[in-house]
Amino acid sequence: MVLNRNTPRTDITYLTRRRKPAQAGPPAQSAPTQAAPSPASPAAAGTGLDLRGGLDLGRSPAHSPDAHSPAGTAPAPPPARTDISAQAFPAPAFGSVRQLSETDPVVRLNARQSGIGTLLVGAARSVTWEDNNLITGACTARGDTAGTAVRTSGNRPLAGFSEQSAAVSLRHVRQLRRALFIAGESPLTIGIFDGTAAAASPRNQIGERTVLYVSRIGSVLEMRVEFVPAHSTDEDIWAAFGFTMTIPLDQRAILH
Amino acid sequence: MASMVAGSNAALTAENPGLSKVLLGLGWDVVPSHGPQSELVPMAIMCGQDGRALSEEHLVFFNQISSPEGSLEFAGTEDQEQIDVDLPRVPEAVHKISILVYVDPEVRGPGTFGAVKNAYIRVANEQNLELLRFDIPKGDGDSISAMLFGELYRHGDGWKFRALGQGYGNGLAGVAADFRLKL
Repeated sequence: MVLNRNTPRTDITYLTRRRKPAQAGPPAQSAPTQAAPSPASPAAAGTGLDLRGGLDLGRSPAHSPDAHSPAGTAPAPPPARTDISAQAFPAPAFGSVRQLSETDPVVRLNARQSGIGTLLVGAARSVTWEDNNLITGACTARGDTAGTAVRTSGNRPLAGFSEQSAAVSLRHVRQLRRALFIAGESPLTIGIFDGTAAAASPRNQIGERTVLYVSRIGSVLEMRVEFVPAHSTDEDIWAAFGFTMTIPLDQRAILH
Repeated sequence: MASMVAGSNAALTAENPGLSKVLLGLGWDVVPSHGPQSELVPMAIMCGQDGRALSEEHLVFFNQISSPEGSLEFAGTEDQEQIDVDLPRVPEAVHKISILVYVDPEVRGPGTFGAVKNAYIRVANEQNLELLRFDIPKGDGDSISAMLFGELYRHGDGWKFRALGQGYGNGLAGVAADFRLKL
């Protein structure tokens, strides 16, 4: 099939949003489109993202003089720190709530707490992880595994067990998308490098089992306790939280 | 380019008139291992006149990649890490910017500087032209888990750079205590 790259696809609007500068001429008479205005059209000004000059994916001005600045004017300073976590709704700081429960279910770590050392969760019966590539896996305190492990550059798994505690490598927190710790029969204990800690009862007042759901928001981790039916299996809980185990594909599996 | 030795300093802005932005490049090699490896993490701390950190927000590392006002930020990958410093934008309250590298205190075999070799810090201008370089002397790294590589500090109206290579046996906890940081 020969692709026609010259005529915009007006039937699929999202394909016509971004066009290379060389293609940004007036639309062909046979295919007028509202999504691809003429570069010279004054009506285009101020109506949204203008990519007619091309999309600049270069580095910050700290590394390259700002060629776009008018002569005689200093380049605009880079913006101060912004992180998506700054837009999150307020949540108690980790350490301000000693026991996570139905009345105090959420705490949020700061960027230092989220990026140094190891997140240790004691008395979890299993830990489940999902990384940025949606690679998902799980392991239990007894050593059973499912899905696919995520290795880090330090030759440690992103998440796993260290002795009897579930552990997440916070040096690689940016690889983590979310994690789930399922309580066993003892209280969950959560600790980090700076000594800050919290605990959660293994069950709530009506006997449901506690799970600790950890999600990364930009540079910070947020923890929330949730409760599931007491006799749920790990598979039930993975399904309830949308975890689908990634089939491990390594050379040995492919060769056989 | 000038090579430095531990303890020496250089008049960065006096010897480079017009220098306003500097790039601090840090690098090292870690002896490969099949087991858990030392994971080195660079950090820069903005300090006040008393030599202590202005606040926990005034440090930058991989998970807090710029200072609140944006004068100090992590960028680039040519070295293991690069830190851009916009000197005129550094707040007046900042008298020193300490640059250190710590071994991540991971409980699953944290490691030390014993497996680290060829560590260095270099100072370059905005065009990445190297102005200063300090190759960290290979010492007994087995007992070291954090190290101050160097520091930028105000001197008169300008800035100087001092090479340090000062190790901490107690790692990031020792750094936090020295700089009065809550880490």
